[in-house]
Amino acid sequence: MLTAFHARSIRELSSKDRSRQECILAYGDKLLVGLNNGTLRIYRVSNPATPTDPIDIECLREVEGFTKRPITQMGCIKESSIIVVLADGYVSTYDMGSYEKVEMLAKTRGATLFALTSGVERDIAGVPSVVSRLAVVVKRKLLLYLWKDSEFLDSNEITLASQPRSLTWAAEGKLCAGLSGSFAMIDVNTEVVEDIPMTSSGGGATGYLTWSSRSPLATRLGDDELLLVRDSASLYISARGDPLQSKQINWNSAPDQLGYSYPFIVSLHPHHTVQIRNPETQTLLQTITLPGANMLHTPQHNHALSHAGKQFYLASPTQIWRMILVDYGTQVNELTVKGEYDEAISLLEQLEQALFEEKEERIKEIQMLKAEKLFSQGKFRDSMDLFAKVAAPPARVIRLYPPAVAGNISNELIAKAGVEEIEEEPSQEDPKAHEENGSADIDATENGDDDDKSQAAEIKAPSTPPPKENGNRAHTPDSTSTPSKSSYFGIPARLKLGAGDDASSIKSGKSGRGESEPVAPPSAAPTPPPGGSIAPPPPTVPLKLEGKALKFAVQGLVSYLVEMRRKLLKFVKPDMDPDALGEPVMGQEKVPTFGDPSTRGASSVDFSEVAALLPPSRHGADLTIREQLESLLEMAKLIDTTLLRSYMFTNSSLVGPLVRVENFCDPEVVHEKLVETGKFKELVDYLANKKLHDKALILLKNFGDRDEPDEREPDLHGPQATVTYLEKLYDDQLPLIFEYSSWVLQKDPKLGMHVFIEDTPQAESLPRDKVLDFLRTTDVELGVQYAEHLIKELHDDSPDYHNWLIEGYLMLMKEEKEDIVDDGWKWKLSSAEREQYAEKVLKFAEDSQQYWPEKIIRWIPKDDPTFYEIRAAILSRLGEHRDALEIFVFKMQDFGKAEAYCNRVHALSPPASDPAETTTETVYSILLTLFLTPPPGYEPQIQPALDLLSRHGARVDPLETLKLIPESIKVSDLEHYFENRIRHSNSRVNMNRVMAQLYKSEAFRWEELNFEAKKKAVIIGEERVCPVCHKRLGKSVISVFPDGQVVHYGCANRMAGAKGMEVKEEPVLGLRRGFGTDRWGSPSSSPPGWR
Amino acid sequence: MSSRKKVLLKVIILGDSGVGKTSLMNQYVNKKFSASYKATIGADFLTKEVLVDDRLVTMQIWDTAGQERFQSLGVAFYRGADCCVLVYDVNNQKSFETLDSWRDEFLIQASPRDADSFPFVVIGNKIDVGDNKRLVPQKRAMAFCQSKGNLPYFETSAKEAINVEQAFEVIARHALAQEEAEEYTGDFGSSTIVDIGADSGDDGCAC
Repeated sequence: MLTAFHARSIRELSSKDRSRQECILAYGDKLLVGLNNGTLRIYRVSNPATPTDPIDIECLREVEGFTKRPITQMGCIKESSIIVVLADGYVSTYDMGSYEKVEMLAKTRGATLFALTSGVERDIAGVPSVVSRLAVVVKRKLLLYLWKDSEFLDSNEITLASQPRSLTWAAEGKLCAGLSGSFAMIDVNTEVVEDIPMTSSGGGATGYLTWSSRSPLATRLGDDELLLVRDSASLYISARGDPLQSKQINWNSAPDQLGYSYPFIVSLHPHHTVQIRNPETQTLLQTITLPGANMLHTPQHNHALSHAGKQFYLASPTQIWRMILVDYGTQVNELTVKGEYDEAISLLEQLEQALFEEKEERIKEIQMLKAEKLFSQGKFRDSMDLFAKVAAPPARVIRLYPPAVAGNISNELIAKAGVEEIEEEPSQEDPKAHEENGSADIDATENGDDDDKSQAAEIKAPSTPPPKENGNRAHTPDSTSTPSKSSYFGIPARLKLGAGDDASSIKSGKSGRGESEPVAPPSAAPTPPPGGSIAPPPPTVPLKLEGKALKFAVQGLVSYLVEMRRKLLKFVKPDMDPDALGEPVMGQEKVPTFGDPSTRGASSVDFSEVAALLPPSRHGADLTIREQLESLLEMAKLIDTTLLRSYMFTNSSLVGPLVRVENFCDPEVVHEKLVETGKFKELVDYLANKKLHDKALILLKNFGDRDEPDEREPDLHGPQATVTYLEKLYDDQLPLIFEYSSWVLQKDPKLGMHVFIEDTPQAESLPRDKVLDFLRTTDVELGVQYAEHLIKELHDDSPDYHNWLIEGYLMLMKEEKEDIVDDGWKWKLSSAEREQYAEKVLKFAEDSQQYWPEKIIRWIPKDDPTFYEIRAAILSRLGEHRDALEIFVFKMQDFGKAEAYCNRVHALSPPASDPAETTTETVYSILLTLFLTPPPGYEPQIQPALDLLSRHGARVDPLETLKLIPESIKVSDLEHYFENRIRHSNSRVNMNRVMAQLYKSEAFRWEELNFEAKKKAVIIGEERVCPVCHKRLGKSVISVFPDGQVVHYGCANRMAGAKGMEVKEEPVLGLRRGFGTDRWGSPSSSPPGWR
Repeated sequence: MSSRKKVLLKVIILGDSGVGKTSLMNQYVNKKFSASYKATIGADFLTKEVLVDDRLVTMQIWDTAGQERFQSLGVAFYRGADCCVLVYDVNNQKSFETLDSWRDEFLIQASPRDADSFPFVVIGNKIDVGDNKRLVPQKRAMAFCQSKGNLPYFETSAKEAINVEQAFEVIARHALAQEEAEEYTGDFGSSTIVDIGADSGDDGCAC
């Protein structure tokens, strides 16, 4: 199923040569072969540039009698230039250059096995140094040596439960030994031996019962893993000896030898079969049969560079094969073309970045291919999850769907254009024949390989789900990318389409328009060069999705789109305008470009993520920020538009949420789709979100302002929707608010007024003067309502509104009065309403302090009884009490109201501090004057005058009153007045007397207090010192504190500060010796106030 | 049958930063309140076992980050949610206005089968601060809930533990109802094409 290695025979002993090869060792370009007669042959092997180049092999030297007996095992320590050889039961060291024996380790008599390791170890002090260790098995004993100063030093000896049959160095100072019953991990420093439990699940047989003659096998994988194999059971352990996963390798036959050739597991099986496996997936990748092969030599593990040994050797007694690794790119391509995406991904993931430059991109690409395959198998959710995980370009994902979802980039549309001619060609190809063809070309030396291959394919087959019937031929392996000439013929035109399609999808990601006629770029058509980074995108003939399947597919798409959308929204906002960005200088561009203040922090950090979202071919370094942003915006548009279509398809109740949140939907598509399905409410939400308020409002008006509800969206009938909409607009949309509230105000003024008087931040943001202007020109009554709202609810004190409110009231009243013809939609006021307004205006004129009476008075008709009282109220505000009273007395003849008026004015006037009341008295005087000496044409009103005098006589100046009273009035009629008057005067005299006495006694009290205070004395003796400065008080000026402490006058402030007291502002100083003045007060000790 | 199964209810709390999502959760689960503010990063959850109509259910309450830059939750996070709690601060006008977009974003991310009937519960938090500082009148909040399909509305104080229990009781009830509805109709998330509708129909009849 994969060609990971080519087996190249490099050396074959001639049939005459009777010697047999027993042991091989390779290092650098050297190959050492030990023969059965004790001869050592040394070859130099060239490293071919490509797998097909000839390999030169040159015999450098032949050391006859190198050993007496055949060599059992060889190893080398390159760092020390020595070769370690096990022969004849002894371990000896040889010089790498001269192949002369350096030393024989005498203690190793009877050795059967050894293991070498070299690596950097840290000593106790933590100093790293290169350490080479040798472990030799002699029966049950393990002899350990340390290479030091050009010789092996005995370090220690460990005796094990049974004789080790395999030995593998694990981590620093850890050795894994395969014993007859189990594996053991040995710490060479502490000599602790730990058993590694191994449950044999392979084949259901337990190791104890079916212990075969085969050795337990172990090999190191990479840096920190080991693979243990016993019969058919396998176990992955960490280099410390802890079992890792429970993954089992499914051997079809138990391996005889095991090795690791980065990044594959290599095993030699009976019948001379070599198997290559992926350690991650355990999949058998390649099977090669080499006749007679019984020796496997994989490169020694190198701590520093685990990928150092990419090739290995196999040998039979008479032949040596060098296994040459096929370029990783080619391998990945091969796996990709065969649809073995998981293998390809696993392989790529194990490879180091250095070995495969575009590793990440390739992984992403293959995962997308895998996702496409899953999609074609109907595993939509898995497919889409994978697409989302790798952030696949949306265009590529979306085009898998029919036009109803994908719009014009759908594959179906593209396929329709050219699918007929394309389909024919590949169908004539027999993929099977083709495959055989290809592999036969590759390797001339392999025999019977095909059988094993098909066997491997059979093993693998059940795990590959059978393709679905529809359009699935696209995914049958075409194996077109094997680097053989024959495959050129096999490239189906469909493949070209695939490539072109891919390019077009990328392009469409930028331009936002799908190309219906993809043009295959000429460079994409030929087979990619081996190791080339361009994997042929698999032909994606659209799966015909219908019915329920389509629904599931679209649901999967939704989750992908939502995930992508979330990623994108970190960087772009719908209101971003790339044109406005200009070309910022690198370095400072990040903040202003993705500079939405709320995301500033995140975007400047994660800028690299942007690149990951962009199509791989486009995120070159030369892309400007602006171009990146543009393509992101296009991508966002595609995603959201498709999301909308998908919702329409599966879950239309989510359309609303989508159009209401920040989105990049294509306005045309939104409009078309929403109108088509009658989702006008959502359309309005969309327009609102996009701030296309005028369009939204026109729509609302169309639906709302009609007689019969539109059956498509009956909920939008009537003004409510428009009102709700307008309520959400702020003052920046004022013209629109005015324009579209008109029809609502006409239809339902009460509801319409909500726009302006609702207790919302929006309504409060509207400029009051403009709203009032608008409303009063629309309808005076609305203006009045608004002004009332302003003044009563919002407590607005601007005189303009107060003035206008009165004006508005008056207009409303006059309207009725003058019987203004209804000009369309003003309504007439009933008399009850008119009275209501009269009451309102009167109350307002009396209550409000803000209007300008000078101005108002001019609007009020003098001779209309309706306005008498109002006029009086305003005259009163002007201080024209006489005019006001004249209205009551003469025009209305309502003396009660006149008197009430006087009372009100009297009450409002400030309480007279001066007992001789002046100003307010005149109100009553004015009234009295009007009663008694009316202007010509009016009768004097004696009785009301007398009543007034008897009630308020005290408030009128008596002398003036007497002057005014006509002589005709009897004194007896004035009895009440006089009595009242005298009583009033008497009470005042008495009051003043009481007050005088009270003040007098108060004065006494203070004098007494003063005296008491002066009586207080302190005695200053010779010795008395100031507690502050500790100097004697002597004859200086002193301060005495209320608690009796005496300090210098100058020290008083410090003392006061310490006591937390305040110094009275104007201290009285004690000037005489022996007397202090109490100039201190604390808040609590102040005497109660007296007036 | 299904009622014997142990039920796990996934509840997600959303809302602007600083409205008290973490505090509400802590008050409900741990009966604790801390006055110090620490922004939540990503998401965090606590579980609590509660009795809903004599059924023991486990509520898994997910507290999320309100600040945009801490929001890193993918679609997978929202999948399988049974109830979404929208929290705002009654003293913060903006946190109330964004409720609608929190709701919409949740619906998009979670893609529930029936978006119109998915249970949301709205909580106005921090009512302990005092009426004079309150900016969102109860009336307006009620009107909002009404307009979104009669969402249950609670005014709480995580600090004073006012109404928190009651709110979460309703949350649990709604979440359980949703969970059962989902169970009945089946989660759409199965990756293969299965005639789910027919299957669940059979189940229904058998009961």
